[in-house]
Amino acid sequence: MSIFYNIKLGIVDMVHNVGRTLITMLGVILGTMSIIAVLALVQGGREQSIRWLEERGGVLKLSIDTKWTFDLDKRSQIYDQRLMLKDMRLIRNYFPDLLNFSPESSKWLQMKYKDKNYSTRVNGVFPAYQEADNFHIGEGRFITEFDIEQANRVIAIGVRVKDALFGKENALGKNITIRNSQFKVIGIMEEKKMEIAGWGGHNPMDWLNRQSFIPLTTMLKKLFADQSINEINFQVASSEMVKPTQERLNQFLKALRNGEDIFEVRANSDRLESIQKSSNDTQLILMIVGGISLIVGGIVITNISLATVKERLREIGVRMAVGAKRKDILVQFLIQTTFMSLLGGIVGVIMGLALLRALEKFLSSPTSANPNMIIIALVLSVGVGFVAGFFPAMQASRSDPIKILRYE
Amino acid sequence: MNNNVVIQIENISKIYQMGKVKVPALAGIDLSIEKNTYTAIMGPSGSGKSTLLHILGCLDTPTEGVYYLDHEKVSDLSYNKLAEIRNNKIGFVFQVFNLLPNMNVLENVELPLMYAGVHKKERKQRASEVLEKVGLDHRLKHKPQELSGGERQRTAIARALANNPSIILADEPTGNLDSTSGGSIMKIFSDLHEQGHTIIVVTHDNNIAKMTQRVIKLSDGKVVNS
Repeated sequence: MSIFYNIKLGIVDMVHNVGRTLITMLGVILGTMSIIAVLALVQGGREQSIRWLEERGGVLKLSIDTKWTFDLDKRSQIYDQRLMLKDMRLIRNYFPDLLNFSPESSKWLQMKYKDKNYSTRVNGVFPAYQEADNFHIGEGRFITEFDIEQANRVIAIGVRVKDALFGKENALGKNITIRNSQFKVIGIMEEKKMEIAGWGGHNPMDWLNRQSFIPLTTMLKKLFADQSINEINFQVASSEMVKPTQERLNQFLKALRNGEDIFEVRANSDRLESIQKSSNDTQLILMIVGGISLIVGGIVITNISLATVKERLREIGVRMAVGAKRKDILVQFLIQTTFMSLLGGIVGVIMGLALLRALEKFLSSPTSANPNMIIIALVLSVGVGFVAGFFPAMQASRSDPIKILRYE
Repeated sequence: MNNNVVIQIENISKIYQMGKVKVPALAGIDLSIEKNTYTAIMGPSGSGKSTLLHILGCLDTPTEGVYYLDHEKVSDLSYNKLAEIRNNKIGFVFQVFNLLPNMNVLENVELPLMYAGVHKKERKQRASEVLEKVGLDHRLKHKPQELSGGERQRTAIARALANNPSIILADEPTGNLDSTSGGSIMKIFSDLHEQGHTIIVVTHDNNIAKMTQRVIKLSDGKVVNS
């Protein structure tokens, strides 16, 4: 009595009762479908967030920033004690192991070229900015140490800025006017892009392409007399160093302000953790819902299989009369329900994948299906079929052949 | 015990519990049947002849009494042991054929071989051989519902013969057939008897009984002659 023989019997029976078979499989189909959809949706969201973090400097990135609060008094106190150039130098000196140390001082400024105007965020930065923010020069060159020392009036512009001011014209070497000073365009940034399903082709990173970069020293000495720094971005060498660095810096910054809580040190990895946690929670809840529909699917299988056993009593009797043992009948019905459930699982997976495409297309939700999810869904459907089929198969195998065959 | 005896039953009784009432179907039967004999069991409806045949075929177990098959005591064997005996020692032919409707003639005949664990290739070959024996080699791929009554019963006989059992039991095998088909079925049983099988047929029909060597008459669950 091979598995294949029993599967063949199952198929013959299913072909003879297409309608009943479909109803039997429906619960499992819907269950696996929702499990596939849930896993892929959650995974899609998670991958999206992680990719976003990668684009923004990766999990080793930390940043020092002033605290944000709703309390207006507190806010003005924080503003008074904000990060200054001298603080930045102290941090640099006390923490020489911070990588890609990148202070930023940003202002919203108007730029002019010939008759064209463009308002944009101009960032005063160090050369390390490129690595710290994972945003690199595309054409020409970026700010150098020499530019910092000399406080040169040079500027690297984003591609949108270039488009707005220069159009198709070559921008490199041209002069742009900012606050009555001439800035020489030394480079054009790469175009920062990220594809997100659901943004309808809109690039969620495009705001970066509208920015421009000048040496930090130029910003602080030549454009403004203000010595304040907005934030400092940097990286650490390994993920084990994130937490200790965060703690040491917090203590140091507190000491710098006589124990006042002015700054916070944020880590990308904290955001990653909260993303993981919230997506795990969502996944768990939705999986429970999917699991319940699989259980309901199992109950449907049990019910209909019990009816099938009744209907096929004569067949069972005949098989027993010619020598089938109880085990043979048990295995026959068990394999048939398991196979049917697996088939429902396969249909559910296919429909789930189709549902995902529809979700991506019409509801614009990012999804990501992988082979593991398909395996999980199929294993679950086999399990459901086996458990759900066991009781009916047991009933079938316990039939008494003579009781069946005597009443002809 | 005579070495030639294949079936020996002693004081067999069968009592059915119908709700609170006990209905005796067999009330103490002693019987022995020798190898390669052709026996008819006759009697009015309700005389217990089918019950007796079911017990002889190990489809049913007696309430009391002892049954030796091939000198082996089978009256207290487990279900699975009885299934084995049904599979390889006994071929059973029913009045209503009892073929599986979703399977073709060949697959129906393969059934006992399958439960005997015979491999596919040999199974197909042996099933085809017995079907040739009963003259159905041209109907292998037909479903039972595409066959005449006589052909169905010949399929059922082929199934009973598939595992080459020594004993063939038939419960009114011509009861659902016209006289011509019935005649050809009885001819097959006579042939099988000549080839060395032990055959027991339950029947109402005196003409059939005349073809056998011995007639056992039952009445009210008892043997009235033998």
